[in-house]
Amino acid sequence: MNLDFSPEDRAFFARVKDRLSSALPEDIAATIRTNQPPSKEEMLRWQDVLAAENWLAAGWPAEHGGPGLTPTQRYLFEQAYGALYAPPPVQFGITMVGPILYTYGSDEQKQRFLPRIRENRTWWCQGYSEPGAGSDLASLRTTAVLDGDSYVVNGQKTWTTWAQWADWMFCLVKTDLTVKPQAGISFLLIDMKTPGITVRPIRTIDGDTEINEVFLDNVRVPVENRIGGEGQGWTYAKVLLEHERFIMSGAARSRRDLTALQALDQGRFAARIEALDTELLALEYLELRLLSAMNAGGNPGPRTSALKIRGTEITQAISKLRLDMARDWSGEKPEVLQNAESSWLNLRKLTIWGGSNEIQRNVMAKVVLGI
Amino acid sequence: MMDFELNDTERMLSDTLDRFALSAATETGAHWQHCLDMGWHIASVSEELGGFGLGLNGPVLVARSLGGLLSPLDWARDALLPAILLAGLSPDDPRAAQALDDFLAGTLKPVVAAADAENRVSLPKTVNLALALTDGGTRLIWMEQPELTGAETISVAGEETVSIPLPDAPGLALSKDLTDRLRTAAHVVAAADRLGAMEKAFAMTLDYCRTRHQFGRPLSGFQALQHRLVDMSIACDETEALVLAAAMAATGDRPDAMRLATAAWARAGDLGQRLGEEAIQLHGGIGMTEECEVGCYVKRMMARQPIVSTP
Repeated sequence: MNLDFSPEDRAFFARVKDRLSSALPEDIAATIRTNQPPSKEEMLRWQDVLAAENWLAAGWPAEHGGPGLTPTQRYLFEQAYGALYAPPPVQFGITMVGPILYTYGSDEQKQRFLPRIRENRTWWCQGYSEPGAGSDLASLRTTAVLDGDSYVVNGQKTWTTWAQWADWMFCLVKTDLTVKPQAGISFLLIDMKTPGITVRPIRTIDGDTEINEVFLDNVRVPVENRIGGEGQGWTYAKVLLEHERFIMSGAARSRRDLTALQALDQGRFAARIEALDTELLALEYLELRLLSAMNAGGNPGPRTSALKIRGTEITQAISKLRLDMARDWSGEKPEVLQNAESSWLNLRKLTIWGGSNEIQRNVMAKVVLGI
Repeated sequence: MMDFELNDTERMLSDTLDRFALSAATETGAHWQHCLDMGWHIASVSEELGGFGLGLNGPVLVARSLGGLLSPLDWARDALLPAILLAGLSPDDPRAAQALDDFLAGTLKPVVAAADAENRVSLPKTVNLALALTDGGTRLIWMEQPELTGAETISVAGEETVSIPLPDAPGLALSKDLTDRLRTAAHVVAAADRLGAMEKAFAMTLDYCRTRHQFGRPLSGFQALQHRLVDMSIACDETEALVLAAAMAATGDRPDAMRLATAAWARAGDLGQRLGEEAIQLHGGIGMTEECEVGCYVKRMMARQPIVSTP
């Protein structure tokens, strides 16, 4: 057992940290530091910087045009990135549809879509949830009926983050209603400019409109936009969810935020900060523990759900601490205490999305504990 | 390279611990004899001084195992802390060097004890060398054949123990480095012992929920209980990660070793307490009884504390 990273990995970390911190525009950093949602322009401008280093699709293997980082480098990249007040990259293209495309897509699909994701030229959104299919995603009812060389898609998607800005949507649809729900699902890529698509914004409790309803009314999607075989969509979607969970611990950002709050505290919140510091340390080393298992050739699988559960709980606890410190502050608030209320409201989403924490616990009970 | 997996020496140690766990020995004497036979007591001592050179990586494996076995052996007091203290002193102190040699050979059994608020120490009645730490582990009073007569004897975990006042002596000032290493080790092994007890209490509870049927199905089929079992499992994983990280930091002489050690103990403290309460609750009525072993693990968690405190 050894806790030290190799000299090569430490050098990689220093290089990423140095390059990213010198490239981050101050106005974008100020948006994040003051707990505000970045604008589309800010996100795209920052992602152009990442793309120029080929660090946008940081987790992609070299054979698909990514930087080909080892799992350890990927982890260190996240540590360096998360320590900055930089917008998190939009995940839908990079960690969601990208890996599905290079794992299950045809050569033609890979050539068509992957470079545009890497180079920040396509904005993707995710068409999974529906009004009647949230945690029970397999019960989705949007249908795709084959008509000549196209599917005709009808239905409604919801909670679709940034659909209003998206060029493309990856979508789970029912192509067979006669088999058990999971078996009749296919994975389609839909151009958001196709006639029949209506995007309606949903105002959320924090006053923002980052999520939408997407209505699909006789939307024609060419068959060549289906990934893999008909009826295989569910399998792909499940694989993809595991891709996410390491990223979803958010430990580096939580460390950044807790450290900033600690620097402002004059003693009244010391006990809470200390308790959160210990919880966060445990999360950080649990993540390293699972990374080490992966490096040793193991597959931590659903054990990574623990990172999502604990990571989101801790991020929310820090947002509550920020809120209480902001309320307690007299005089003009320092940047990191600004917009504490709206960000606390916004971050309620963390334990709901990406497989709610209740679903994560169901999965762990079944697969890790075998009950 | 960052790596939580066991190396060959650590794996060998772990295997001997697993074999011992199957032997079902319960007497303190048997545990101590096995500890000597396997050389667990010298796991932390450097190879130059005749030990295995495992830093704290080996000792946490031992402590975790003994915690899970409810071993009566006081591993920190009787083995790990004497080894660290004597090895730390021995370069400049011939008396400590001699004691270390005898300890490694198994012919001397020193114990480390810390002074309480009334400047007293508790010692086993059979002790022939007591290393008493005072002033928060910064000074050492060396007590050969300590005068134990006339003191009241109490039995702790089947061992005759006496509490005596410390002699009125200034003692030997320990280096900051040595004090820090003692404090770090005390916290990490206390956390590791607790981890072992937590893992056993959780395993028992999971097993119980699988086999106990109510309303025509096993308790483990109820979602409300499944989620609580998952949280217990995560508590074990979190504690394990911090305990191993703290051990590695200490072994590598990293500057964050003490911070990780106190964090490991704090996290094991909170999570262990909660896990113990859940273990009893999920067992239901049987969990309240003395015949159910789950209470033994809960009490183990409450009983074992770091010998030396942090400043």
